[in-house]
Amino acid sequence: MNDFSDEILVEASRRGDRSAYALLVKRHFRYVYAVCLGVLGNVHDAEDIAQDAMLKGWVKLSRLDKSDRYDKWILRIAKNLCVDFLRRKKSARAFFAEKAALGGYKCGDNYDLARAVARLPQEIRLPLVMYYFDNKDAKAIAEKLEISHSTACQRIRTARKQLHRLLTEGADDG
Amino acid sequence: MGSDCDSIRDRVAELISGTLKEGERAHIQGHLAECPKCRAYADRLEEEEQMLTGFFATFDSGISRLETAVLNALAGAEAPVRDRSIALGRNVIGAALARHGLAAAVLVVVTVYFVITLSWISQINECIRLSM
Repeated sequence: MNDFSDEILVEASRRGDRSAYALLVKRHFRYVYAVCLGVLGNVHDAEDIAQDAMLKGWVKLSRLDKSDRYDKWILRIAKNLCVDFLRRKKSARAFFAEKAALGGYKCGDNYDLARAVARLPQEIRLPLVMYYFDNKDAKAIAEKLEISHSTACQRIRTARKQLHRLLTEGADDG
Repeated sequence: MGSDCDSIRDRVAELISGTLKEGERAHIQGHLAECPKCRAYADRLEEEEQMLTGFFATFDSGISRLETAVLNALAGAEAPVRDRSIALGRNVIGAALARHGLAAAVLVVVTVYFVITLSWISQINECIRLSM
């Protein structure tokens, strides 16, 4: 069953086959989580929202028009959940600053790096996070995020430069 | 820093992260071989690259744990809504069909009633005419 396409697994899942959907979870959860982390910039919230997104995908599977587009569909669900989550906050900027100050990460030596990543603007943080989650395959993340390859590369480049600036110019000052 | 350095540094981030086009690689690497400041910049980015790669690798064990949590939740989750929506759809369609079917049946009964009644009246009239 592991070799089955997303399309077949989606159809089976629609008939209530939980084992088929479990395979979709194993196949796509990593990217759903990466999107949540990329949008939210916070590990704990990304964990919660990513799980919610996968379960919402199960319940709402009937709304997926094209079974072979599950990968993009589930990422959109995750992204929308993140946006809704952020909308409930006073402002994303204040939210990130607060979370960073409270230590939303448990990454030991990576603490400064985590905070710097969290401080990147969402538009460039998301492709950056996806890039490192997806074996540095810019073409693959461009498809997942439904942007052009050149746009993906440009955003990753901008993110890397800003990250460098944050890490070298006192990123951990709050 | 040479005049070329600004534009080169723009591309160094791409070189290090692996998104630079193949054709531009040689030019950037050539400049880095000649320019110590840009090379130092590239070395720093390379260090950060390794930090980033290591940083995101730390999420792997967490992802497995989270996947397991999703699968556990999935076991107790309700079936996809489609099953219910289909059932609902069928109910709606069924109800519509039932309404139309009932109307059609009533129409048939009424029609048959009138045909039979007219037939009887016709026969009665015929009998009266013959008896006269």
